[in-house]
Amino acid sequence: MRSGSSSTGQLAAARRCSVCGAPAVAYLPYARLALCKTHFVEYIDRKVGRVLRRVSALRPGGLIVAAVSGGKDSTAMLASLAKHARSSGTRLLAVHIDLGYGDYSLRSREAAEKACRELGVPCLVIPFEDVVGVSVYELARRSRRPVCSVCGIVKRYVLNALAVEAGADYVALGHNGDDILAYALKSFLNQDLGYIAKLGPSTETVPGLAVGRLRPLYEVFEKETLIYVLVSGLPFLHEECPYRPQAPIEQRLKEAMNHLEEEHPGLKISALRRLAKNVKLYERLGGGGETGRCRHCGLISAGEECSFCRLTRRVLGEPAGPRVRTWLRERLEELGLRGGAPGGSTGGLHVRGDQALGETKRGQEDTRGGA
Amino acid sequence: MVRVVAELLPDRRRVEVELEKGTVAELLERLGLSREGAVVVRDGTPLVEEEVLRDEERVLVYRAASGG
Ligand SMILES: [Zn+2]
Ligand SMILES: [Zn+2]
Ligand SMILES: [Zn+2]
Repeated sequence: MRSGSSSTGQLAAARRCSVCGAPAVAYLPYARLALCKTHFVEYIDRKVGRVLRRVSALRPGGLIVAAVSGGKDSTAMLASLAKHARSSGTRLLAVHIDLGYGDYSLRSREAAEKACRELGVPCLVIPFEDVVGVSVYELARRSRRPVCSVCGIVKRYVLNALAVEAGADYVALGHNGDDILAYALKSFLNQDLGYIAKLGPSTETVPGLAVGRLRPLYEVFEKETLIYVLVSGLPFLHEECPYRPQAPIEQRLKEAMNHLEEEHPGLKISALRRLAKNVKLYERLGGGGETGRCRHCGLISAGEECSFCRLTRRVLGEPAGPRVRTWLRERLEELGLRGGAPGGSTGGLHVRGDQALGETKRGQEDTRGGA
Repeated sequence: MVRVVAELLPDRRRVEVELEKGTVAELLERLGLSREGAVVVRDGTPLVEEEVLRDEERVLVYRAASGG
């Protein structure tokens, strides 16, 4: 604050930190806490730590793959995760998928790489178009699907493939508490109860097929991730994806929840905690998920072909899953991240660029990646 | 009366707003934003809702629900 006087006399800090009395940067009505920069960051890191411990995400020599977009949420997630990983001896690999959306993607990539450098986390950039030979936009256009839905399939596939190849314990995603509530409400409205089952702080690993997802920001709200990156001085891109629909329903649900939260502080955090407790119930109601194996790439699939291989096969004439896996394996070898982990990738999947080999072998070999 | 210039992000829209009390809460209300869904920033520092803005001040207003 400027020290010069002003006639309105607002110079005293509006609120002081409940812990140390320094000027507050945030007041959290649900916790009845005002916090200064230092104590705000500590508070969020503690919340993240609780989630990580609850799902046993931290272990010496373990590996977490963290998806970073360059936006505020994944940047906050990476920063907090990096602290916990360091103190527990867990290895961390950041991954950024360059989706090829022109300047937006360039700026996203720059922000993500800069944040990783500042946090001292190795960052793997995956230039989707170079790897697969076609852009996400082209895939969407030629398959006549919305870009966002193709984008979702691509991200989910590439992240899982990377985590499986690396023998990672988890793929960490930047979903914040508001995102999770919005997805849960949307799924409830659609009565897609099986999807709600996947909205806990973590999902389970299916050895050799899928690596569990981790949501370190489960109890951290959107406003908090923003304050976190601002007060931590981290670089991030605050821009909308050019292909985002004008008014996505998730956005409206978030606004509605925020209005309710203003009237009933604590509503959102208790809803999240109850949801986390009940995801198993939804699993039963939703009738289980995908546990099959894709015949092209060998990864998890509802039918005999995973959605990524089906999509790319229809557009390109051949499924791109195997090619993606090979590319990732080569990069991981360069980074020295293959074969080193306990229960790691030495027994690996022998899928070559040409086709899926070793279909028979894999069943016995893929015992890695569990727990 | 306090007049502030608010730069909205990620929209990159600049609006001039005249406020009665000049608090952050009042600014957000005038902009139609929820207190839970936006952060007002002065010189890189987030402000709490009771903070009083100075006349002719420029602030950044981040909508939280975007750019994730
Ligand atoms: Zn403090
Ligand atoms: Zn998108
Ligand atoms: Zn496949």
